[in-house]
Amino acid sequence: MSDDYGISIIAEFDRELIWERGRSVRYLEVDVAAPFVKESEKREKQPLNVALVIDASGSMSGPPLDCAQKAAAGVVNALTPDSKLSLISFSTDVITHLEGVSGDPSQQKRALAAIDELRPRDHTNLGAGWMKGAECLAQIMDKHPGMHNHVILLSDGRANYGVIDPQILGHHAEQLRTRGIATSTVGIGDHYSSEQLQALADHGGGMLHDAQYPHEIIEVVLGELHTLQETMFEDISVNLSFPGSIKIENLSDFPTAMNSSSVITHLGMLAPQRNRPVTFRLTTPEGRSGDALNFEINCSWKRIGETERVQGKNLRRSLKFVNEERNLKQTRKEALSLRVAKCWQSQIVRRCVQLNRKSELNELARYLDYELRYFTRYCHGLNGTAGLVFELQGMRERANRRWGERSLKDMDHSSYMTQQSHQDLRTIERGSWLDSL
Amino acid sequence: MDTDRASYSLEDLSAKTGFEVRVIRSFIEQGLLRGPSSLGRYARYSDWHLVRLLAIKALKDRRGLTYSEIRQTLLCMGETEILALAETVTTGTDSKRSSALDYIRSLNPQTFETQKIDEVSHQADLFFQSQDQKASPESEQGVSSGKQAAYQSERQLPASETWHRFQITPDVELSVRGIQSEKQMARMKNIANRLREFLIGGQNE
Repeated sequence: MSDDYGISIIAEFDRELIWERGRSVRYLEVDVAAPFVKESEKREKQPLNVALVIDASGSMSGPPLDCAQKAAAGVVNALTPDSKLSLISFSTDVITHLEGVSGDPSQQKRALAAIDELRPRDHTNLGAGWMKGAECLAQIMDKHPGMHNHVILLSDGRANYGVIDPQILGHHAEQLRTRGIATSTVGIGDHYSSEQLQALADHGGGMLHDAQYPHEIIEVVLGELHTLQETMFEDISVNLSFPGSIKIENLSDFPTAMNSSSVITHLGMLAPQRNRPVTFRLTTPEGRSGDALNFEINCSWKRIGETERVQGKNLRRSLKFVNEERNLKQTRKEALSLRVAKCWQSQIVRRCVQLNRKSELNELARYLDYELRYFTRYCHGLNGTAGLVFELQGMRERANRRWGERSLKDMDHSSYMTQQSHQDLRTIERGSWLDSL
Repeated sequence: MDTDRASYSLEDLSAKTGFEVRVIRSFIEQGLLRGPSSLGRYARYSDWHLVRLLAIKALKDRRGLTYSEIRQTLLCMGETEILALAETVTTGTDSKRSSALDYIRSLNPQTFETQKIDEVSHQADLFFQSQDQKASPESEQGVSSGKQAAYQSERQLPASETWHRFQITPDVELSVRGIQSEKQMARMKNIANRLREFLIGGQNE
């Protein structure tokens, strides 16, 4: 279902019957998709108000900073005359190099000269740099409402000055997102803080990009700019209401607020023809055969440049209690089950990355053994899942030692992209992360 | 926020934080909070107490930490971080009533100022990072990156010449030279924690 040029939403269970004695586990996928819009039917694009916030700590010197400068120059050249660009660099201090320059040719020249002046300095005050970028956007927003406001932050390190707690950064990113400023982040090299950049991007309604090689900085920044220019909807959220007796878990790792009978999941922004699936795992209570558990799902969003939220129509779905025989005989939806398996495997991999990074190797082995038992059972007889099980088994065999930081980043990032159906903007294709372990 | 200006009664703090008066008293007894700025029947508390209580609230409600874990967490945080944590409670979710610019201006200027993080955790991070790099297979493979180089430059002095600073309270600091193992570092952190508890507890007596 969708309204004119609005978002469409599909909600499906992998199986719709549940055992009357309880403890059935079912998966619900809510897929939110933006429509295809013909060029002739497109609404006028909202001008961009972008802040590029660049890490200028000492470790960025050389190719990383050179490529960040090239990426910034690419952004300047791609700006339309009614768009605005702010450029901030941060190390121990924060410098505003450009504040709201437009894509006008005369201003472009000034912007390119300012970009050329960027020099590496010392420490990494990421929080202050990011907040200064947001402040530049906020000032422009006040004078020019109706723009598409977005901070793109580039960093190769871990914040070690000012605010460093990912939860605090995430809180402020969320507050700014609800006020119309979104954030995406680009992690450069092998030693950026996944936790800090992920918190900003997840709660800021954007995406974390991984730029392993310096030239990928240019690819992902310009790719992100193109996505922003195409984006139609932002601050999308899905609200799922469920009977309080159900145990529910979000497998997709989107920022989620939950109480005893509803869960709100924030999905960020969407460009045309893109979708964001969110997968929930439900464990059901006991019930009487023939009765049903009812669910209500709705979606709301903002159109780019508008402040009012649009509310989609409500969807209703249910799970029906049956006896053991009927429960065992039911078939599952194969394609949906495969997507669930991929999402579930991604969640397991990301949890293992966290544990390995903290050197909690015993806990990692215990967790993997536990998950593998259920995951293997779920994948039994399901086409396309042998590779997923193989990867987890391979990871288990290597669970007794610390993995390299690049391997951890590759595992985490590829799983994050799978979980949230993000588009990889890098041109070099990555093989299986298992090979690098 | 002037964190030293005495201005609140226990009841004021309770109203502003949602903690009951008896709970705030128990925080003082457990060493989560120092005693009032002025003693006696009309004891007064400062903004320092308010900030710390809001930070405790954030750690309890959002992260689900126990009070023992909260005490440990706060001991490892600098005042700037604690202030930023407290602001996550006070800034709430009133997005419909303020613009992005109002929101940013409502934050305490210190929150995103260019202040160095708590010296203890920074030094400890550097120390444990270097230990991790020694132990990890990645460093055995000779991986050398800009970030690693940065860590090395921070530790270019031999360990016997390096000073480690442990902040005990805003006014007291412990400096130790020659920490060479993880065990020694843990022991010094333990001593610093005990000294801190002793000093904070001393204000109640």
